[in-house]
Amino acid sequence: MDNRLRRSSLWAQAAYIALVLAALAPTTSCSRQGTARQMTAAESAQAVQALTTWLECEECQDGELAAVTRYGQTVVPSLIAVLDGGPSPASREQMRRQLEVRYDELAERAQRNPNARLASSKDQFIALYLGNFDAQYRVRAAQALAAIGGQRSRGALEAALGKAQRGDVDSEIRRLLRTMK
Amino acid sequence: MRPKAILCLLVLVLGAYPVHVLGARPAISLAARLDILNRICIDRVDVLPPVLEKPFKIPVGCEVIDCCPGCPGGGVMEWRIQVEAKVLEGAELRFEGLSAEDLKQLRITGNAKLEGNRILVRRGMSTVGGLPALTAGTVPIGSLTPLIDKAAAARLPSTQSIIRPSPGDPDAGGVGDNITVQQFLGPFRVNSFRWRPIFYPCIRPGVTAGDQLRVRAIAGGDNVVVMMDSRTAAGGPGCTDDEVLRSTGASTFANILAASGCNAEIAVFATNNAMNFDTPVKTWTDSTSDIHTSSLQPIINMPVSVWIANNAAAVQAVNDVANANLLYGQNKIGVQFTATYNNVSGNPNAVATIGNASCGAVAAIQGSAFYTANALNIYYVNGAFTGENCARTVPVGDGNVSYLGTLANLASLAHEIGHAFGLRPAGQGGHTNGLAGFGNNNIMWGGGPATRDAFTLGQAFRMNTHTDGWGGTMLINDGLRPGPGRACPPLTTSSICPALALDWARP
Repeated sequence: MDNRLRRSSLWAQAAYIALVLAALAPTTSCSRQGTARQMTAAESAQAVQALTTWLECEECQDGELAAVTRYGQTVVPSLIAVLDGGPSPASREQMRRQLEVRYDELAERAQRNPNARLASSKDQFIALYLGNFDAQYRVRAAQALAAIGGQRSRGALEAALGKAQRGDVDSEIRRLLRTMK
Repeated sequence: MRPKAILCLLVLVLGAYPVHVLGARPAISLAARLDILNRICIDRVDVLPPVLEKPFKIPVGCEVIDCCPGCPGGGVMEWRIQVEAKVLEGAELRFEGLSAEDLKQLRITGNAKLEGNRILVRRGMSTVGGLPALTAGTVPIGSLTPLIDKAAAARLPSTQSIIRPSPGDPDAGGVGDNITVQQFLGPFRVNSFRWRPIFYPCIRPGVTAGDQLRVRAIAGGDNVVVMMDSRTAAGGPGCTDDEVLRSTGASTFANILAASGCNAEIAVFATNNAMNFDTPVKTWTDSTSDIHTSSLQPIINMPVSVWIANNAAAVQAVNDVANANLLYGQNKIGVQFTATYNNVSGNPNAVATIGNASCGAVAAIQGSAFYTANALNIYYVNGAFTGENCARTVPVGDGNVSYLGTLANLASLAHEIGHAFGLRPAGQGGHTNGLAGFGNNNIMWGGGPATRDAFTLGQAFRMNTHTDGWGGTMLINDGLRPGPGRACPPLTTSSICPALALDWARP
């Protein structure tokens, strides 16, 4: 292979790698302009799994946020929906029923064990943990939007400011807007 | 056209290809939103354990609020129900919120059929289509009650012990069934549920003569769990590790031999006693009629100093401790938490010292008045996170310190105490996400339902005995259990470290 051919081959390889990298980078300037492609059903199911894992993770040290941001603008509408609405009606109802059952177990045990006393009525107990569940979803959605970036994400965060029912959600949105590129 | 625009166009063209072609994202197996794994023992087929009598409640609808990226949103759902079972013969499905007329409109195919106001789902694949995600503003709920094949249940081998010949298969000896419910909106999977019961028999055949294990001072009439290593046969393969059995006071064995190079030890786990660990056990000889007695000690009272730096969490802290006590008792960890609540939210010095960042001030609080030595110290702060144990925090770590934020769920405290008791690091088995033998009802799942409620026996053993470079279990570190403990990182399985997923069958 002469030098010219080898050089052009290297250029072609480099160009191809650059294009592929550009296509895979979720936060390229293109994706920030709001371009998102349609997902297949299988990809969509994977994206939902990444979303719920991030929305519900405990310490979130296992790459849960990166698993969401790699989808870039494609998941921004879902994240905005979560920021504005919290958990889905089905998830909320599931949590409510699980909390009802657990409260009954705790109340039964509290009668026998002073270390197991409760500080809430059943309604308060459910409202407390449902409130945290809702706030967790909104905070995590805001954090993912800030990490993905773009005008749409920023706009959604700005629009959510002041609408949050809890101070911790509002504070987190303010902090994210301050640090967002 | 500008070069950037050309690049963007090419990106869009490339983006139209399936991602797996580009190799961008590795294929991942899809987990169920609720993925419950239960190990269940059946004693009599006419008296079923409670877990088989309570229906699972499965809401109709999507797991995220807009259903999924790219899917149509709202509308009518289809449930695809797969029953892969040997002990279960199927399930009964009822819907709250759907009228008899609604039920008649459902499209039912496969091995399911409508019988009155219930749908009977048999083994194999079935679908129930035409389910509305909302009716009159409420979420319809599917109640799924498992149905037992009594003949199959009666065929479970009649042995109480679960002997695991291979450390790689902690569920050897059990019969694993599986029911999955996947919800679809058109071609898009938008929610899922999986229940994985593993069935064992409860009853051990009577052995009239032989060696005996006596467990003394069992509190509260408990049916304790015994995990035993011993030599049960001559020759190399005669070492038996991690035999799990139940006892209410006395268990008889055909003949346990002198250890002769095998590991010989007995750990006893109880609801109302401390975990008892006899090691090495030198009682057994090659002749019969040996008697080993394990004398249980009272349950460990773990002091917990709760520091309320965020007044809004004062009520939650009490509930969280109650929940931790329930879960650690149900799973026979051998410890209960005796909490002292210190509301320091009105003390600016305390709030400043503790801070709002997760594990953000370990060194400062260790040297302050807002720290109790040799106790778990739990800080409820005004930061938007769930929780974190600070054993591995740098530059200063302390397993006795955990932070709970404003997003903490009901399981967060119990989970962080699991880390405090040595289940760490998170990415190496401290979290059980995706590990074989675990569902997301395990307390150490890093997320999942807030009402997760299970520790395995492998986790219970480590929480009582673990040593590592981060202080090991705080039960030993704080002088509540005798040392020196044993280094069994979560993912290490050996003759002296049981598999993390090793468990006992409930109830």
